[in-house]
Amino acid sequence: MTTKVTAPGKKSLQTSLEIGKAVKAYYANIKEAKEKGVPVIWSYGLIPREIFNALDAPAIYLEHLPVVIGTKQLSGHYIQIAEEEGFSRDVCAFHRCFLGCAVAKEREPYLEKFFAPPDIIVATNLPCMSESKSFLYVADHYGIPYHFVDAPINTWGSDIPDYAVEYYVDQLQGAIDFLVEHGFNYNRDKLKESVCLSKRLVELWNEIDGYRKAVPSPMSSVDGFTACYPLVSLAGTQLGVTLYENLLEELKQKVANKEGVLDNEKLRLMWFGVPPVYNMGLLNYVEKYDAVVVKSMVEYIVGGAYDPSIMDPERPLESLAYKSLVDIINPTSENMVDFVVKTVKEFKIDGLIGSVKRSCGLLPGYMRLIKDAVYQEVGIPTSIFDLDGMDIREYDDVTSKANLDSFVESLLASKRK
Amino acid sequence: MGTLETMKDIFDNPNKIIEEWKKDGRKVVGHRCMYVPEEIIHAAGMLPYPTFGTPEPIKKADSYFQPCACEFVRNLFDLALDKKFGFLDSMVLCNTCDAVRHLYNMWDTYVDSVPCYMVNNPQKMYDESGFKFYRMELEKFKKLMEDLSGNKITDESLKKSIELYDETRKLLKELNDLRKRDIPAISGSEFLVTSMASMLMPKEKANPLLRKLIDEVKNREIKNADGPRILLTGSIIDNPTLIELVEDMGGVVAVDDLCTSAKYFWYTTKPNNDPMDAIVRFNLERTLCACAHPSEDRYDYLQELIREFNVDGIIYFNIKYCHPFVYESAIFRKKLEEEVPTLTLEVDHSLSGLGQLKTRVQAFIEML
Amino acid sequence: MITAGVDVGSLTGKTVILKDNEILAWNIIPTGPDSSETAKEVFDMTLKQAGLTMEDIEYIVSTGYGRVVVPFSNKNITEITCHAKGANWFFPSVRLILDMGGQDCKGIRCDDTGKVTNFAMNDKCAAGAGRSMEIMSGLLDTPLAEMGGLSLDIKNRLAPLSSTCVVFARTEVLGYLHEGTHKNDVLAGACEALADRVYTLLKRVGIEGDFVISGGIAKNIGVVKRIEQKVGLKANICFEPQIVGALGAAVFGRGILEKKTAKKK
Repeated sequence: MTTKVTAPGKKSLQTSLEIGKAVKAYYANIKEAKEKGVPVIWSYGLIPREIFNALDAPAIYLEHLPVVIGTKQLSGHYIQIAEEEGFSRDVCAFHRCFLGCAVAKEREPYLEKFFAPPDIIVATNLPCMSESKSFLYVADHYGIPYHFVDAPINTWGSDIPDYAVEYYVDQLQGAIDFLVEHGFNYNRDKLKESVCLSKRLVELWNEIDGYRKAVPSPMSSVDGFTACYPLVSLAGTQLGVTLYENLLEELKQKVANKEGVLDNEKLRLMWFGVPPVYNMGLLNYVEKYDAVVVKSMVEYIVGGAYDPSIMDPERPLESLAYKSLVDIINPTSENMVDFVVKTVKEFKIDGLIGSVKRSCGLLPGYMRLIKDAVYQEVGIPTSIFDLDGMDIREYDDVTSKANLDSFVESLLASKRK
Repeated sequence: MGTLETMKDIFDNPNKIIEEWKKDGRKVVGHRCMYVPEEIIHAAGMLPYPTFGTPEPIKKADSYFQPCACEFVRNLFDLALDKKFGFLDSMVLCNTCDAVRHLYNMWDTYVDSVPCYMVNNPQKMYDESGFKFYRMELEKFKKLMEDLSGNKITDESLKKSIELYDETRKLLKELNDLRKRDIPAISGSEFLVTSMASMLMPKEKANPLLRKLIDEVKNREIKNADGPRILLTGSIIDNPTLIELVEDMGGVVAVDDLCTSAKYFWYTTKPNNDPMDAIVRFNLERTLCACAHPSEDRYDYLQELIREFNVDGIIYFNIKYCHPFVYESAIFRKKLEEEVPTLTLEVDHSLSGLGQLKTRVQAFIEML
Repeated sequence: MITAGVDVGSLTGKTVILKDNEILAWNIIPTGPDSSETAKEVFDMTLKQAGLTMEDIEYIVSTGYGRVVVPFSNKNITEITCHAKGANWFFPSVRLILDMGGQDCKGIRCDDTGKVTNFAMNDKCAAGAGRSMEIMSGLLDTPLAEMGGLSLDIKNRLAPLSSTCVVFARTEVLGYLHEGTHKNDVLAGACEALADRVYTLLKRVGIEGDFVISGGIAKNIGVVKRIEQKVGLKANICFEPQIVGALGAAVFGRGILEKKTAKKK
């Protein structure tokens, strides 16, 4: 239920349209595979996609499905179904959303284009506890086999011990063995190729980031939210690489022509927290103040925030294990804080927006640390307020906009001084 | 004073234990969650101190954590900020849930007076490669405890510590088994106080007290034992008031699957020439925490408790914002209810809203 | 056999005197600051109405939020258990009950004897309880008794209310009124929001069998109709839905006495 003022984000890039098409095609392929009798995997959490590519396994990534549901304003309905099953409001709204969708007796025709029931589940505990548990309910409901990959959390910083990598390699191999047992064919060459393409994908993403740092910024986080999709589902594929090559070209041209999202860019903001998926128009809202949301943290926690030079196609599993341990989705608090401070500096951010999803057990825990750090090291403020990025029933438009209004006004005022 | 009263006194006044221990210049290492091996701390000649919360409303912690973080963790952090844990020479956490990870981050950043360390452990049990990983972490932890204490931890000293802690576990289990009877010899709230007191004090002191207590109560029968027999489970419950609440509403708390109770003593270490390996396997050849996998293991263990203690109803006490137990109670509910009625309750760690809680518990007991 | 049930809720105190399984007298009064006083007051009032004295009452059961502070009761039983019994007395085929008082909301499943088989209560918040309607009544300057009917007479279209918290709903409601949305449409939104929350609660216990609504909310036709629509069942409502708990308590008293008498024989 909404106060009628939700709006989809206004995207300004051509590539965003292409990516949108790729999203639809991805799910259509899965449905086709299902019809041909190929078992469909539901993957929870950040299992390296390259493994599924090497097994030619059609996989639905549960980070993305709720986004599809949310953007169509349907999240409230499915979240309610999950609550009826006993999942209280304390647990992640993303998970409640797709749990409800998974067990619903019927789904809207639009969603049926994206939804293929699972035959197997492969889950992990990155980035959070919810990933590690909610899949059990789905496995039980459908009576299907599941495999849990235990990813070590990073407690060492950037100096990852060999035994941690070894453990995770073993876990990933376990996932491969499990899927082979269940009828998939493993092709190690495909894994190597996939790792190679992933490396290229992240290299491109980093180059893209480079152009986004330009003043004025040629791309807002509204497009960014769409643009991070290849990192979610197309890692290790040529299609992902092509899409990012196109995006890079588009941005190069814009920067060459000094073409920004706004003609008169006064403020650059960063969104830490999950933006309202059902109302991405809220990120465009601040543009009336000549403020643009240049980057959001969500674009980093989908699995591409690591140095691609660590990816060695000749040692594919070791590379995948290592990158999962150093990626920002698996942070120590120092890593997280340093990363955000670095991003704020490089993107020349004027203010950080920290939206807190009450049902999230992960991101809100970093808010205070980040707020203190960005203020101490860069001198910029953070506005922390409640906003559930997925549960549309909880959305209060008036208060959300009031929070943004007052924050932006105070930022503009300090700029004038 | 009877031994039950002694236990209560220790539970109410843990500072006495600390004062006594520190008198001789010995160190105290605080810990939270079951994958921090107490035996290693003990073998280094230090006192492993289980950090419990208090039923007070959160004050300072909310300006660090968002209000949507686990209440128990916020309470612990509150106590740390208030320097209530100032007597600790070190604080050790481990990899259980997101909230504990955040506690580590916060403590490490904002509590200078007590250094905080994190032991990394697998969340998947029974996995040989997980044993290797955990072993490496524990070797590091062992070195840390040696450095902190200035004492070397030998295989011998470790074996002795394991024996001592296993003895505590056996005695607590023996005492707990007295609740299997139709009329238990000790009530749920009395048991929790005893269990937590035993966790708090040096095991050299706890073990003789437990033997004495078993002797004292073995022929005892508690009053008001004709109500339905309840199994309590859920997030970390460190307040006997909750158990008393169930008892006051007419339930007989036959067994509690809590971190402060059965989870602590249900299993003992298997014989092993390599004590470090013994500790690794002790921790990883069982699934007791809702954060761990496989969850079927936990389900089987709950079934065992239901059978052995002749349980009529289950109550899940989930602390507000505890994710692992909300998932577990939602996932297990249907299966459990095929055997035994199950009630899931959300509880404020500071125990506000007790009236509403009483109504729900009473209604459940009336239903049974 | 004469028994009495005293139900002390957060908003109202009720008494029912039952004689040989017939309602002899009943009363509802607002709960004052002292629940114990309220209990005494409503009990005495009902006694007087029935032309009886305390000594004539053979067994008294207290229920409700203030059940433990009724010093003259013989036993206290939760309102969940009493509402199931009371609903069963009025409608023996009932299997699903919704009771909404001022501060809370309960979904109850029972068997054919009115014994509770499952229940769920709302989270500690007024948004899913009668209090939210009171707040709306104040905001929209509409007497409680009229709200339901007006909410069904939508002028333009229902104004959805998104706030989970009824305190924050205030901003939304004022926003709507400021924009010129008709009061009825906002009322419709408020009733819809409440019905939604209730539906989730009922789903948790399982929707099946004959359905009864008790408590003050049963008098709000706007909420009742919307719940019926979502649940797909007709709601059975007795002549005075607020006394169901007290009646159930009195019926329990009767049952206890019958057992005692049987034992003696």
